[in-house]
Amino acid sequence: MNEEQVWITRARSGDDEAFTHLVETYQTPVYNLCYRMLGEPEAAEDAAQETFLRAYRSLSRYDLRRPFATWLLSIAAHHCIDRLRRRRLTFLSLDDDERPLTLADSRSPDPEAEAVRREDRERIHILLQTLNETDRAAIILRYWYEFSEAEIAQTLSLTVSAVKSRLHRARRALAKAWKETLPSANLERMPYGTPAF
Amino acid sequence: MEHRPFEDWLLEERPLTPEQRRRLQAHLRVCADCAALAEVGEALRRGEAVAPAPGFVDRFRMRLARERARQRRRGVLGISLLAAGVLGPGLVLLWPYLMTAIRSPAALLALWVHSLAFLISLGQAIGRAGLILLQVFSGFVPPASGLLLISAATGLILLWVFSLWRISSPPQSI
Repeated sequence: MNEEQVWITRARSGDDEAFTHLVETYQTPVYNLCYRMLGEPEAAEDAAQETFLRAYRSLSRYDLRRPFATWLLSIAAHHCIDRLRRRRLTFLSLDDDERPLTLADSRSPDPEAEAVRREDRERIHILLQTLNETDRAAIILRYWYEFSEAEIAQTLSLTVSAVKSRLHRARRALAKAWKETLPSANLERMPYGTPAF
Repeated sequence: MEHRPFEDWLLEERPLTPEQRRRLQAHLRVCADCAALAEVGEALRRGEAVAPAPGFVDRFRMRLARERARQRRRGVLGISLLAAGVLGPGLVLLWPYLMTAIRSPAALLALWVHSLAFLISLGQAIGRAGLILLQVFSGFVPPASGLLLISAATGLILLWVFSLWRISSPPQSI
């Protein structure tokens, strides 16, 4: 039994401090998933708290052979998908003026490059909100958590082929939106090449 | 413009040979769709995890305490409703007896003795009626036929019990 399983076993037997330790360990992965899924810090905080509460309530049903992180993120993903389905009618504009304004870090070795990277991250964050909730969850688990297609399938209760097709569809949709929302100032910095290759 | 196999390479994210990389780079310079796909992949891979505001664990502790208090309230309410559901109708049914018992315990005792005597006399009457019926039946039916009828009835009862047992027993595993 590894250290994490010891904490889980203690939490199962009613040790609240042990569960708090698990919350402390997984607060960032769970919060990040909720934030990427829901797009807003307040909603993400509430969803992350609710995820841990749900995990606390169903800890007795957790299978110790399964990775705890996968189980926890599965609860978070399903909870966020449910929330998004409930508020589907809410329109999230790409020109949302309320999104946080971030400035380039002047301490960075290359402030301009850092500003561009930050801008890209913000654009991706906004574009993510245009995806269908399950596609969004698949993309987040793939790129932020480096889950394999099989792990995503297990987390989202899908088949591996469904995950693959959802990932491809989501990437195409993001690329289309990316191209459409490309700021004119960025046209020069993107000579249709990518540092990945 | 033909996007294959470049789009597949970008979506599959498998390692490419140097020659495939060269061909892809050349394609990305002229294809805006595939370039956007590559840029999105790159931006996704650069994604950073966002941490919650400080004090997340303390806020969780408070939320857990609130949740527990709510559960306790729900438990108390549930037990109260259950008790009311059981005790209420019982009280309504027993109310006349309780009132009698409060007003006159002797009258209640007399009522109970009367009911008991009635039940005993009812049992005796049923027993006597059964004996009379048996005497009448034996006068009409000869002893051999009576024995045959009783055997047939016993056989039918046994068959009925056996059928019930077979129907209710779980099926054997295949």
